[in-house]
Amino acid sequence: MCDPVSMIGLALSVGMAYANYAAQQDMANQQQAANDSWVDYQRRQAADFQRRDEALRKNAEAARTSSLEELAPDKQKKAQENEEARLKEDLSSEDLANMEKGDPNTLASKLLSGQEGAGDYAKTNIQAQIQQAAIEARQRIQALAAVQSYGGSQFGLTNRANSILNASGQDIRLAGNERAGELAAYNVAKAVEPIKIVQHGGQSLGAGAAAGAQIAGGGLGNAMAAGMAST
Amino acid sequence: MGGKSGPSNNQMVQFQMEQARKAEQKENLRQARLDQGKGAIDELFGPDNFGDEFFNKYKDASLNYALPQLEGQYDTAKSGMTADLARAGLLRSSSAGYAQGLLENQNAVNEGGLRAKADTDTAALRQSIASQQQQAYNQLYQTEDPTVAANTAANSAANAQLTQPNTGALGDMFKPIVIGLGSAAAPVYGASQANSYLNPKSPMGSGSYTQTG
Repeated sequence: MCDPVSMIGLALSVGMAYANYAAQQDMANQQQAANDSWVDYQRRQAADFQRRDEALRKNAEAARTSSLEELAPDKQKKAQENEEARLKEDLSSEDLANMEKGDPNTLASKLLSGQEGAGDYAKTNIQAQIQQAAIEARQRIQALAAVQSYGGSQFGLTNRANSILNASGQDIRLAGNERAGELAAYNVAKAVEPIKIVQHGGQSLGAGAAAGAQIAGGGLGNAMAAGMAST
Repeated sequence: MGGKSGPSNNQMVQFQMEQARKAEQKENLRQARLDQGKGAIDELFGPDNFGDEFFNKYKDASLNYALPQLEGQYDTAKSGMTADLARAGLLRSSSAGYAQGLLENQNAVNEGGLRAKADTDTAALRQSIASQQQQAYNQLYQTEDPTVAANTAANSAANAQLTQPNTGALGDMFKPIVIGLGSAAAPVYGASQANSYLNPKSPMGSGSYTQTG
């Protein structure tokens, strides 16, 4: 019963089983550590991506809201009035403006040759009609300026809106493009797999334990047979 | 003995992480190029090159072409009217003032029309320059297409996965060895092999074993 061979075999079997258990436990710990490390990595990558993406989104949002503010009705109205005032001056000559105001020198310069010697009444009458013509012309030009200021003039509403939307559009596009690039880079990071721990030669432990047990069993059987024979 | 564990796909994971780092670095560089490119385009088409001075020059050129023609026609019309009024003996009458008013009105309105056209032509030039700027942006974004960068990065990692090393268990590399069990172990290993393991290395040594080869 107390055959040393059997005892050694039994101890070996227990030892091997323990070693196998310890190895598996070690592997499980390593795998857990690897998984934790992977989760940390993914969490860090996700947080970095979210932060960058949010910053870029805010850039785009700022560009969008800024353009909307510029296109607000009060600013559009103000811009249209400024453009109308600019065009009113720009579309008519200084000469016409002076005539409209009744500047005597300008009106005198408009007299035809031969009219200089006319009587004051006739000259005043002629100059008054010229001034009236200038006033009417200025009114037409002002109407033209108003029409142009809504549309196709340099700083008219159409061009102004296009210019504002183009500028903000480019900022939004830049942010969108960069967000796409960030997402692409993040997808590569997201595809990083966790480290997989594998037990090298793990089966040999089990086999060793089995063999040990078999040997121990064999030894024990021999010892018992020997004992029975002696009695 | 067996049962030793270790990271089997560590190199693969390290490679994937390296690819991720490179993708991020590449993206940072790409964004820097985008910013630089956009800045260059903005500067190229900005006020320094295409400011009011540039557009006013165009408008003035347009007016300098059109207004002298108008002025010439005005002078001709004025001369003709003067002659007609003189012939009719109405040069110093209110009828002359009426005719002169009409002429001045037409002249002013025509000039206003020409100036308005010069302004809209200048606006068209502004749009044309803005359109060129848009094209320059388009080319920049086509050059720095993030989809291309994404596909390149993702493919490099995917290709790596196709060639990943075998990470499966190696199987039994060592046979179990029981020391001090010569007779029982002999059938398994062969007596001579088992005995050779158990031979002391030196007369002073103990009966431990070493395995070589």
